Amino acid sequence: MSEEKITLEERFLNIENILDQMEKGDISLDQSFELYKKGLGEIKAANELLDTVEKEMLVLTANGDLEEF
Amino acid sequence: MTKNVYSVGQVNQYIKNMFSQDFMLRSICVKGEVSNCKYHTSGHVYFTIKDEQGAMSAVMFSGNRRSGLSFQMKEGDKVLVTGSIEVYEKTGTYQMYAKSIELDGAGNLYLKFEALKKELEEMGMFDAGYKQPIPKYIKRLGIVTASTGAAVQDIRNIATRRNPFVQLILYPALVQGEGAAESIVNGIHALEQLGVDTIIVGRGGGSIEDLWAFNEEIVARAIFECRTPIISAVGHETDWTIADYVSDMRAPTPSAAAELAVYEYSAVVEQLALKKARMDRILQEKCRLERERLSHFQTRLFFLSPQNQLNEKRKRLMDMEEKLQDRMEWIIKDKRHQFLLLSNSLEANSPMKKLSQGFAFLEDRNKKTVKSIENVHIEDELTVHLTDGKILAKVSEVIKRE
Repeated sequence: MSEEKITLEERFLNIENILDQMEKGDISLDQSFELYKKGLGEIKAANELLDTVEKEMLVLTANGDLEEF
Repeated sequence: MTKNVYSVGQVNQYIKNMFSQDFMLRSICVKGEVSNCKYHTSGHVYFTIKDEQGAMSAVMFSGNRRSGLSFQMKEGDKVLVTGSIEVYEKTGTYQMYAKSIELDGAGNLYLKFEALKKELEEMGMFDAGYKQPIPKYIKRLGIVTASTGAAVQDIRNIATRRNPFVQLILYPALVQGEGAAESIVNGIHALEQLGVDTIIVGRGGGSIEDLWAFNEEIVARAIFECRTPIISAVGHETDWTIADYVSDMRAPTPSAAAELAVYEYSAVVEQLALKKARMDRILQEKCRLERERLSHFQTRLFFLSPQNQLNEKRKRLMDMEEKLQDRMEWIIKDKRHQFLLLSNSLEANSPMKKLSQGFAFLEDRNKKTVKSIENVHIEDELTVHLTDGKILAKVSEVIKRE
């Protein structure tokens, strides 16, 4: 799966998984750091997915054009 | 002139006869609105049928209900009542005796609705298995509704309040009247083709006629076949249309649909922050645990270190030294004690003691004890030791024992 195709929902799942793994006691500190790094990456990516450009409502016209409402 | 006088009963009877002989009144269809509808425990249904001009009492006997009344009649229903109009002599009133009652206009729509609902349901179009999940985090929301209604404003308000970053795309559709169903179908197709994440199809409240487009089969099919998840939002909470049954999710109102379709931006950001905090906490805890483990190892290692071993041995040595010293001291003490005992017993046997009994011992000039007469010569000076002193004596004669 290519990076951009991962949805926010999947990012959330990934973060949950990472958290679950991190919470298991039997992993090494190195692994913990690896997971933490991965988790931070996921959170950053998720934040980036939350596109923050305010959008006007558009109207789809009969001939398929989009116009501002 | 004689006046004819009639009893009330006679008059009522007369009128009743007039009514019953009237061809039109014997079988007539009356259109009006139902009021004061009462389902009596006997099974008879009493109601009033009225319009702007007037009102008329009516009754349907329980025996006619099975064939003549196929729905639950209620206040305000517009109905076509077929039956006879007869006089009730007891009260001198006339009323309608209904043989069949049908819903008028919208009422027929109601029957059509029931029929289509049943048909589509049997075809499985309402099955939960066909329902597509509504995506939680969307970027583009399609809306099929009237561009001038309250519905689009409600959706817009709620959606932008929750998340101003989701793109709303409206397909302005006719939602009632001629061509409305086709317009809604076109809207669904257009938005699906454009590629939005979720589509809201709906309109504000209205009468069953106003909402009728959402009960059309072509709309139901368009919703069913649409690959994009559709949330229906038709009318108010209590209005159920075919579109609501066939859609992937039914929202009670357009506002509710917007809430279902558009995730709350601030909540998601908050969630992310919480998750990050949790991750931080876990890692910190992990570090703390590892540090603890490390310090534990450090302690163990310290115990095993040569320095510690040396210290340990030194300590043991010191202990031993101390013991040794103790032992030594004890031995000395013991010996001293023994010595004291010995010296006491020695004193008891000392020659000095004998001296006190008249014995003495002799020494020559060289302080050597004289034990025999050998080497003792006349004129030698000897010292005679007694208990209380000594006597210097000169030898005058040496006599050997025979």
